Amino acid sequence: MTAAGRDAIVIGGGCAGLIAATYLARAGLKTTVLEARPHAGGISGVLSLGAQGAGVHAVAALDRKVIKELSLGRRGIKFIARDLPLVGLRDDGRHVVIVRNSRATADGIAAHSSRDAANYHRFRRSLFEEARKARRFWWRDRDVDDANEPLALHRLARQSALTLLDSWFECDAVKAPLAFDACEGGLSVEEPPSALVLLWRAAQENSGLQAAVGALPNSLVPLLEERARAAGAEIVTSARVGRILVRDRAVKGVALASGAEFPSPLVLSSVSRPLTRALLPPAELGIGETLWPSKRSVGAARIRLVLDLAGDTASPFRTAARFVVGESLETYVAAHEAAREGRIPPDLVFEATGAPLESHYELSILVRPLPAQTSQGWKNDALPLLAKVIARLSRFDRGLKDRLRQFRVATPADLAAIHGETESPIADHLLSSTRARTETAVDGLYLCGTDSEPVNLLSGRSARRAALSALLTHAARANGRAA
Amino acid sequence: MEAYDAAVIGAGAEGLSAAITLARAGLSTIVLERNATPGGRCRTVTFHEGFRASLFSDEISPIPPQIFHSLGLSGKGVLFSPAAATSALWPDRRRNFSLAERWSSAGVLWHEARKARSAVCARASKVPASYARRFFPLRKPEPWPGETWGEISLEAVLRERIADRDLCAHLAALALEGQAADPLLNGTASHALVSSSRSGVPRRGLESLTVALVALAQEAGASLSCGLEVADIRHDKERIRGVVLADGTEISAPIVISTLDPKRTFLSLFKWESLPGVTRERARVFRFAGATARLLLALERPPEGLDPAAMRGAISIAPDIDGFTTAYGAWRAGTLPAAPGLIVRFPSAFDPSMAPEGAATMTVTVGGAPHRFFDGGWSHARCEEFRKLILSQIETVMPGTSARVLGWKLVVPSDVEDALGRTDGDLAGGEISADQMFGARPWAQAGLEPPMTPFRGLYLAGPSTMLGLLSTCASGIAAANAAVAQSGNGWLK
Repeated sequence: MTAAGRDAIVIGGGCAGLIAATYLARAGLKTTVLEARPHAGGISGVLSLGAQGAGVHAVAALDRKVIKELSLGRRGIKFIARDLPLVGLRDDGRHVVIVRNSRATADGIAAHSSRDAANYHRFRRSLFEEARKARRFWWRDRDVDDANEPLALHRLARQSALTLLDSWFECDAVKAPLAFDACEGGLSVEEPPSALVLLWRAAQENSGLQAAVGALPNSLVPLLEERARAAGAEIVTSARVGRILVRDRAVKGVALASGAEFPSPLVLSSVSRPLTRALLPPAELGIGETLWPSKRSVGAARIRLVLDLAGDTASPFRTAARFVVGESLETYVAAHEAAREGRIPPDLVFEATGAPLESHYELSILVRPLPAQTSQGWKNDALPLLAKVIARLSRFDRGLKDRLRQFRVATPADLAAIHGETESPIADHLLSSTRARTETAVDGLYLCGTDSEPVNLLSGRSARRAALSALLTHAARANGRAA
Repeated sequence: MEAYDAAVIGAGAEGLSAAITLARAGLSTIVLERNATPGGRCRTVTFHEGFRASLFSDEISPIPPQIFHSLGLSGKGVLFSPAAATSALWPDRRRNFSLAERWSSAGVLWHEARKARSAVCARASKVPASYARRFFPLRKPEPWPGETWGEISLEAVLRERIADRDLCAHLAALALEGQAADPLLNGTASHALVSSSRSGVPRRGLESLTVALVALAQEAGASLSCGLEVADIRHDKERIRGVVLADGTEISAPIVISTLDPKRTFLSLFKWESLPGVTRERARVFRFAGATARLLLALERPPEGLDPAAMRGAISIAPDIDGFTTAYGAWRAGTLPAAPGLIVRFPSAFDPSMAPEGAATMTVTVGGAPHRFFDGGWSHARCEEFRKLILSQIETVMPGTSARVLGWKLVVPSDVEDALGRTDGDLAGGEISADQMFGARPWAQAGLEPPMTPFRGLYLAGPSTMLGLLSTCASGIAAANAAVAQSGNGWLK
């Protein structure tokens, strides 16, 4: 492709990058996706198990609009389970099961505490009412004026999940599983705005796609890759971007680490905000640059386990569910403190999304908080971490080790290498409009990765929004030229 | 049954200044104090022959100048020495910092915090207009000045403005004086807002303020009753009628100003079933974080090698941001922190009457002292262990200090709770966290801004209100002003 003919470049061929590229290419823009690794897919690619790992994706957030517009449904994305029950695993075997039906949930909670069972319904109703109001604010395409901002947003932005849950419930068995979602973006449950993150998750659940498990013939990445190519986008792998070229505060293209230049009037970056900033020339850096880096760096690890189907009926890992391992809120707090100090927490807190497939049972595990770096380096600590997770899970199912067929581990270091360390101005993100998150100070440069989502989860909404902004800019420029 | 126009619970600085304001407005007023002497946290004791020091803190939040003059404190000989330069000591280095210089990076931060604080105070001291808004609550409350500080971490605030890491650690230590918080966690920046208020040490200790306020209250015509606790607040539905003392004496008063924290006010002075559900629930979830311990030391001679100018200001001992994280973890778990944050002052350095000739009084304010341990309360052995720990830490930067100790007194959070009736021994009147600050301190119900409460005639003052946290005397006066205004417009009929 000649330099003159290119309209847009997408940095990073992860899911978000591919979605944005598809939208751009469909609108007739000549689009190139630059992926640093030898294969597309970002984090999802690292965890892919090749041909064998057909794959369960715990799709926590993928927007219905995106699924529909990219016709992913027709192309094979299939939800094998929706509304996964949230199961708080307890060492004593009295697991807490939280399902959509709040009466059934309350009955289950009553075994632990009758007061909490009575409160659960009220808690859920109040959270969902607020979430419904806030959803309009988060999901919209246009900017909403501040006067219409829901009040709860500001109240919860200053509250921690710990105080919110403490004010409703008395029993650890109920609080602990509910708190896991609040720790998004390296937050501790005891700091604000983790309560706001809970509200965001409730809004997700409201819109119907909370923790659906998608079973794909291949996996999401090849499907998205195929959609992007079909739309006409070009995907270049093993092309690490070294610099973003900027002249007069307008983007002019990118230069690869190898030196090759790709001129383009539009650039969409699906890597994180700090990493994007690092690619810009120093003069274009935004304000608020810090003088020395923050000491707190808390990350997460992802693990995929493939198990044989259970013969043992006592095992919880038979049905599709989202399991949360964490005894109490104190465990979360202690784990976060250990992670801040660079130690692997003695008591791990993690979530395991499991689903039975035809031939096997698959668990997709998210461990957090973990230190972004350990003293020995994550290369040496990855297997001990895996062993620890398996040992912890074996407490609930003694036969788990024998059923284990395959595993993949992506440590915090791996995740950071793919899309850069994320900063966590999560309150800003949750309170600012999609437009503020996707646009930058540089004309023609947009962010479209998970860092531009309110919460670090892939919903595709920001990618869609960034692509639309880029298209509008493109159209405006074309009109300007014509005039 | 005695009848008054107003009763004030607690004879601390807030209670006394409220009484002065009420009495000057022509209301017959009684101040009810549980202890044998008035004063609250403004109390100075002789803890060793010839050595005097204020028991709970050396510095208090400033008294706004207009209040200082309108009360007439200067006429009673209250004199604050201005806040001096502060310094930090590490085993291998020592540095002095001046916070007053506006052009220095620390000065900018200090100035910023001070500006936000006075804006908050100005807003909080406004007399609430009426109850009308209760039925037409504003859709979105006005943001408070400095509110965004409640959402970020202390470390981020410092990091963004200051490149010098020593200075950052020192400022964090000053902000977290006597507190337990992890500067890396979001929301801790509010500590910087609050602590910057601590400025000025009164001559002859904080007692001098109490003496002056008591004299002013008596001149204004308020009565003072000491030694009897208030046991109950009488009310007809939501209208306050008076209070009952522990010995059964009933005092009728249509106005009651409570300087106790909301937990004590609502949950111990009212019958639970008579409280509105929201109020009961809010009082229940209001959190306290008692973490302040004080070690008063009588020294034979002042430590050597210290700059005399440095001795006149606060000295932080080996501040380190990571140290606060560790100390906070220990505090949260209910154990003694290995290296608690220490701030040392020498009251005798600027007021020779606090110690005999040639000797020195030294006070250590310790943060991160748990109120309760995971396995019980403070025992004698625990106190001993804690004292040794503090001294050994001081020994690393001021060698030879422990050999000069003639006498000492240790105050731990449970002592604060016993002496002042602060829940969990929290001198700040509640955990300093984003959701318990500004309008939410203690809380604002629709249309009911502090100092008003759901009970007509009951007003809150004291450190649990935002004003009480940021300044001295102002919250008492704000509550009294609200009471006077609302009894004037007939609301309390």
